[in-house]
Amino acid sequence: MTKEKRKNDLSDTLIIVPAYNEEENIERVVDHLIEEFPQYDYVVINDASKDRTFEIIKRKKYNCLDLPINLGLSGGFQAGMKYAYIKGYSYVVQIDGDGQHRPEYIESMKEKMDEGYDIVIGSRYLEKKKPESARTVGSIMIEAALRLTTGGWIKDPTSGMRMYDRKVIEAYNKNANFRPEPDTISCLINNGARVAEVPVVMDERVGGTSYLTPANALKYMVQMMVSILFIQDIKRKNKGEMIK
Amino acid sequence: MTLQLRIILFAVSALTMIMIIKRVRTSRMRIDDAVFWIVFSFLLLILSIFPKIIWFISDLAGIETPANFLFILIFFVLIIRLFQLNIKLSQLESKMQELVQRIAVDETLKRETVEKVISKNESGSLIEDGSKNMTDSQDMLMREAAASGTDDGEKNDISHT
Repeated sequence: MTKEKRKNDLSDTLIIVPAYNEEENIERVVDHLIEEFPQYDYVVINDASKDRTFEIIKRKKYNCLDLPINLGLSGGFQAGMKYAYIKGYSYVVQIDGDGQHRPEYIESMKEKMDEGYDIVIGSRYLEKKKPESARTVGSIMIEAALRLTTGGWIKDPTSGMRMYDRKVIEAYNKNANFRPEPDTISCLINNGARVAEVPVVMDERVGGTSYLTPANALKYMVQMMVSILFIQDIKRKNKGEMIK
Repeated sequence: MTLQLRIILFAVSALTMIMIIKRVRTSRMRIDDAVFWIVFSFLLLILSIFPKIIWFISDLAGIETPANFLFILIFFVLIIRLFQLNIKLSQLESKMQELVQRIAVDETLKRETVEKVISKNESGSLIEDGSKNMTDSQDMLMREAAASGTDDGEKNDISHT
């Protein structure tokens, strides 16, 4: 019955579920979305998975963008943003296909959004202190770089669970360099986007492997730091041009 | 090393870095690609400020003239970059090929279904046209099947020998 309802009226919030080789998780994650959260629309982005992900999606008849070639997380997410833009959604939330993000928090993110923000980040470290590990060292460095370029504190810049409003969806559609990463957040803040955080709890991934392997982590860090410090902050000059 | 030379080196590498950062920002270069150039120009700047690094490493590696070490270093970095670029170019080409083929097949499939629907809906003399189209496409399918059949045959032959 909820499925019928979903088809008939368009929700104003779209959940983007990027999935690359997520055969172990995708069914659990999307079924959970469909059963518990019929008030939101969702779209799975199958980023040319090499395993059975697309078979499962087809069998379960999930709403899906099937990319013919692998674009990576950024390209896949942008495809979802394009879909949201064309279909006219007002809000977009990213929920990873590995089940790390709990959709229960979408409601509190939406409430925060209604207070007048453009981006709401689901933050793991708003109430809890960061545990000391190699991963959080990276997080702290990015946090400092964001502080330097934007002047604002973002406790959990690398959190993948973010909600964007219509203005940001539009900005994503105009700029090929925008990706669901902290450097884009930095650029958006400098262009007048207001960012808030709400506390969330994230689960450990249950099966499959992450996009961000330890080998890629260092490369990711160098890229983020260079991008935030040297590339993104300049757009401050044309402040307010992209957003608004 | 004279003071003049050091000043010139510093000025040139600083200008290079500024130029690269400026161009990276204004052009619509992808960030992943831009990162290499910014790091590279930063490295040049560091080396122009502390040229002793070159002396130190070339001593360590047993290279007699530091200039030779510098040449080797930059050659090496650029060759690796060239190789990476070539890989990327190849991947891009095959991706583009795949996309074009996919678009062409999708368009044809779409047209075929539209034609089928039209030929079903229309009546009278138009049915003949429709059926003609149908037979044409069926013909094509059969020819394709035959072609793939021979392909398979060849493959089988090869595997047998």
